[in-house]
This record gives sequence, C-alpha cells and structure tokens, in this order.
Amino acid sequence: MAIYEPEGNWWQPIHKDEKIWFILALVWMLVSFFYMPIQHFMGKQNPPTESYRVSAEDFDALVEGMVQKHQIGTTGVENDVPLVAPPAGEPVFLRASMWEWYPALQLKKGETYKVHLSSMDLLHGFSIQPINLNLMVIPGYDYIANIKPTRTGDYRILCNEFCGVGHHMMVGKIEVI
Amino acid sequence: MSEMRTCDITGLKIDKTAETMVKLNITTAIIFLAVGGAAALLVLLTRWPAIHLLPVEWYYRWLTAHGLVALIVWILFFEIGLVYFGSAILLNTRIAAPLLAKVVYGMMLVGVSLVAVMVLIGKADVLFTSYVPLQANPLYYLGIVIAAVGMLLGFIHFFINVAVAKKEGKYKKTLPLVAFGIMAASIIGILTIAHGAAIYIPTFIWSLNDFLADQGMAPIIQNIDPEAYRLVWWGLGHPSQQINVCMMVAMWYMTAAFLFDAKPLSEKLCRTAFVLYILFINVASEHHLLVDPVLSTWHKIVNTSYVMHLAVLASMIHAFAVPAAMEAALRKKGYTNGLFEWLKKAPWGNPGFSAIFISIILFGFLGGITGVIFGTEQFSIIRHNTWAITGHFHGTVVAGTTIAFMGAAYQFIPIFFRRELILPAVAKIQPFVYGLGVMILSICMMAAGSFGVPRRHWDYNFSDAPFDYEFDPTVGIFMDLTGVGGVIATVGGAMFIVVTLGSIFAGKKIEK
Amino acid sequence: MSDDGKFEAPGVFTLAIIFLVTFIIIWLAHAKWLTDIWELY
Repeated sequence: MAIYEPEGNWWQPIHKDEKIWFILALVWMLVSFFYMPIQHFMGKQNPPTESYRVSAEDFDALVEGMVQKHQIGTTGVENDVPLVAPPAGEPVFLRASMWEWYPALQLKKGETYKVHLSSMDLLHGFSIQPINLNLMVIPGYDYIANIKPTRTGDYRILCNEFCGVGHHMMVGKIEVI
Repeated sequence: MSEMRTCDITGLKIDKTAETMVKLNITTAIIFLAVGGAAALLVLLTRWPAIHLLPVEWYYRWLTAHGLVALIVWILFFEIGLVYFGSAILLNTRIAAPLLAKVVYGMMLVGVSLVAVMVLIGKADVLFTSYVPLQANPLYYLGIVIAAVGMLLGFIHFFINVAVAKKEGKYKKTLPLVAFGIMAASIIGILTIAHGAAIYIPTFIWSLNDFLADQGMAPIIQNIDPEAYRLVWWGLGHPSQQINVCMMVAMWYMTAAFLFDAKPLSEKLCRTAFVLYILFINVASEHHLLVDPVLSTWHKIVNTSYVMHLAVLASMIHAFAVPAAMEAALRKKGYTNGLFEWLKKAPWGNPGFSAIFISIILFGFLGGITGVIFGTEQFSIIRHNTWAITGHFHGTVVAGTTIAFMGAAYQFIPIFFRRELILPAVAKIQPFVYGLGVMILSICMMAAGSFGVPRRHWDYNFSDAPFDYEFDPTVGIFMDLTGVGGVIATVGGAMFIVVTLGSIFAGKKIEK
Repeated sequence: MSDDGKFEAPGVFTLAIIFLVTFIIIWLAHAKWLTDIWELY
C-alpha cells in the first residue's frame, strides 16, 4: 500500500494499460509542445517579440508628437480624447495611464501598424474587444506589437490589469475603416 | 520521551506530539478556509452584475484577502499538517524537534495575522500578486516574510524528521509512496520560498522609502523593475501551486490505500512522476508572462512548453495510476462485472472517497485541460487577464486541491481527532454540492472570459468610462450562472466547515 | 506484475481515453478561435 514502504524490488516493468496511456499522453504532450514553435514561424497570431526600455517622459513625447501630426478630430467624450489616424508605415504610440488609453485611433483594415505600448505609471492590460486580443503594458518598457486589423468596426480597449480604483473606467477606442 | 499509540484503523504507531501538530495545523487551516470562503462570497456578489455588492475599494480589498487566505493560508496550514503526517506518522516515528514545530506554527500565525490586519485596514490594496509599482505598507510585506520563513522551516522540518527516522531504522531503503509525494512537495516548497524571499525582501526594503524619507534618509532600494518583479514573483507563484499538486496527489494515493488497501500498479511510474514534478515545475513559470515584453520567444517557449508539458505528463500519469489502483483493488474484491461495476459499487456515501474521486475528475477535466491550453503562447493572447484564467485556476486549486484536502480531512477526523462525523447525512452530500458549485463557477467564468470579461475588475458595465462597451447578452447569462455556481459552492463550503469543525470540537469521541 | 497483455484497469483506461478525446476537442476549438482575431506579430 502507498502508506507502507514498498516490498522487495519495485522497479518492475509497467502494466500494459499504464504503458499505453503513458505513450498516448506523451504523444499528445509532444503535439502541444511543437505547436508553439511551429505556429511562431507559420502562424498569423503570435505574441510580439520586440521591446525596449523607455522613460515615461520620452514615451509621452512620442505620443504627443504622433497626436500633433495625425490628429483628425476629437471623440467628443468626457476627457475629449483626440482621434488620431496614423498613416500605414508610421509608428503608432498608445499611452496607458491611470485611468485612460490615449489617444483614440483610426486604423485601416488590411494595413499593418507598429503599435508601441507603454505605461506612465502602473501595469495595465491592453485588451481589444470584442476580438479578445490581450497584451501586457509595463511602465518603463515599450512593447511593439505589429497589428493588422482584418475587419472593420468600432473596437474598444479595456484594461484588464488592476491599476487602482479607476481601473474599470479605463476604456479606449480603435475604429477600423 | 515521546508517547506513542497504535492506531486501530491504520495500524500505524502514532507519536502524540506529531499527532497534536497535525491536528493543530489542520484545524487552523479549516478555520482559514471559512475566512477565505466568506471573502469569496463577498467578491462573487460584487462581480455578479445584478447584485454588485461592495463599493469599489472594498471589492479590491476583499479580493486581496480572498487570494491570500484561500490560495495560500488555508492550503499551507493544511500542508504543514501533512508534513508531520508524512515525515513522522507515516514513518511510525516521532517529530525530531517539537519546539521547531511550535515555532513554525507561531511564525505562520503571526505573519498571516499581520498581513490580514494590513489588508483589512486598507494599507495593502495591491491584490495577491502585489505587482510593483503598486506599493503596500511595509508591514504587509513583513508579515508575508514572517509567515514564509515559518513555512520554510516547516518544509525543512520534513527532512529533519526523515533523517532521524532513517538513522533510527524506521524505514529501510525508500519512503512509502505517500511520504515520497509529500517529500516532493516539501522540496518544491523550499525552492518556492527561496524565490519568495528573493522577491519579497527587496520589495519590503523598497516599501520603506516613504518612511526613510520621513526620517531624512535616502532610499536603500530606489526602484524595483516591474518586469523583473513579475518574473521572480511568478517563480514563487507557480511552483507554490505545484506544492499543492504534489500534496493533492499524495492525498489521492493515501485515500486509495486507506479505503481500499490499493497498491499502485507501478511504483516505478508513480515515483518517477513525482520526480518529474520536482525537476520541471520550478522552471515552467513563464506561462504567466507569455504576452509580456522583455522575455524572448525562445525563453518563453522552452520554459513554458518544454518543461511544463513534462510536469503535465506527470499529472496525467498520477490521474491514471490512482483510480487504476482503486479499480484493481476493487476488482480483486470481486467487482468484475463490465467496465464500471467497481466504480458504481465504490463507497460514494463516504465523503472521504467521494471528495477524492471528484477531485481527480474535476482537476483533470476543468483545470488540467485548460491549463495546458492557456499556457500555449498563441492561446494566451486570447485568454490572458480575462476571467477565463480565474476559471482555470478555480478548476485546479479549488476543484482539485481544496476538494482533495476536504476528503483527507474527513479521513483524518476519525483517525487523528478520534471523533465521529456529526451530521453524516450532510457530510455524505457535501463533496457533491461543493463540486457541482465549483464546476459551474469554473466553466461559466471561462465562458465569460472567452468573450473578453476581464479578471480583477469591479464593474461589468464600465460606469464612468469615456466610451461605452456592452458585452453580448449571452455573456450576461454566464455572469449570472457564475453567481449561481458560486453560491452553491459557498453552501457546500459552509457544509464542510460546519461538519468538520463541529466534529473536531463536538463529535462523538471514539473510544478504543 | 508482468506484462501479460491483460488490462489491470479497463474502466479507468476507458475514462482516460474519454479525457484525452475531450482534451483534444477543446484544444482544437481554441486553435480555431485564433483565426477570429486580427493578425499579430
């Protein structure tokens, strides 16, 4: 029994059903294992791989620079977040802070954008809905996501990393035309 | 000199001090389960949009408390009790250092109490993970360190007891399998707490900055890099769950032995599986960091998939081996009709058995499957920080570990507490009620999360946000069902607390 | 104890296969889910 020391030599051959199960489980684990690196090379949705250190001040300057160059209007909401339409081929800078996503973006379907993500203060969770694309946003780091919207629509950016009492108010906007 | 008695149920020679420490820690654990469960109910009724019970600050405060008490305190006190069970009682020997056992208990209780006070007075609204740059009061971190040092000493005590037992010839070549599993857990425990020290001690020092400034002194640690914190913290966070998996599996084997005289089909396979746990889970923590910047893809993939899949293979071995041992034992007793007569005729009226079997099924189907899937880099993109993650880990640590520990507690009450269970009709159905509740909760959280519902989030309706967002109406149904599942689980949990504490303190004494 | 071709635990073996099939189905469902989001590199 498992509560007593095993008797004699317990390093015995394994029973047939346990052996078969072990092999099936191992094969399935190998499939799951290989899926990750194979998808990394061949797939179209992978976690981004480029990041740099950046200070909050420097990143904020880049954000405001983009807003000044490419603002096309405002969103007319409470904090009047600017609506910005960066051209394809130019970097996009999105700033997370307690408690807003700044600015609002207008992107074109089928174009690929380098979206730079950083935070001015705490951790935030970049969560595009309703497609459920989720990435971490870390203060002091610029995380570069190459994103290609594949459908038009009016999307929201939720925050899904706790960032204080205003966490639930942190909702941003991306429109894809 | 230690007093020994011979147990008339198991035949083990039980040292009185070891038995006292098992009883003390298990009872304390159950009391904390009640606290963690109460916190769970408050949090559940707040996330249920129709009720939205707590105001925003108290939600995050009770969520911090719920994470700490339900995930760490209830479980670690139970596991320190299992340390004495595995290293002294199973080896028919005494505790080598009774004073150390008391120090362990004292430090854990003091540390945990300090943490609880700091959280409830609002000085640690940082959630269980306390991600930097969020900062709590220094006493919060100090409480955690004190409790952790106590736990570390507890796991070290396992090895002191075993060394003394070996020297005194209490076992010849190798530990009984259940003790082997508890040993694997203790090894992982020591490595886990080493990670914990590596992150909590610097964070404690960093949290002193305001105090130092008030004294006119410069900070000792100016900043803690938030990504470095995440990496080291999860080096504590994930292996801490593997301690739980080892202990849960040890309880599975113990139940098979106690209730069925069952022997594992292959000791070689089971012991190797425990070794796989030790070797691989200490490294596999980066599945928490799959959508983080900084770490390279190769780092993430090797750490997460290469190593995690080997630990998962070990779980799949155990989840087969334990019921297979039970089936083999029951077939020997004559239940050979068809594929499942042994299962139908198994002692489902014994909550010690039913809880363990429910734990095996739910851990695998709910927690195990989703853990491997969400731990895949590409799937993490669509699940990270959604409520699906919360659903997953309620499938592992609640439907798996907690239900298994409930089953173990039912078995320990006659053996160590020498009491009969009160309200046996309640005890009989409790594992089913709790299991059903947690199953509904876990599945519905995962469903809501798959539609994007965030975790750790006070308001489903995003009040006061500049842009409106409404989830699909189907999601609202899952939110309601999660509430229903959670309430059923709370009832099941309350049934457990009443039966166990009632039996421990007022159950009919079993005379020899 | 030796391998004589007999299954010691045919009931559990059946349950284990059901588990594995469930695992594979849910895994494939997630792989299919991935095609619904934007491209991300």
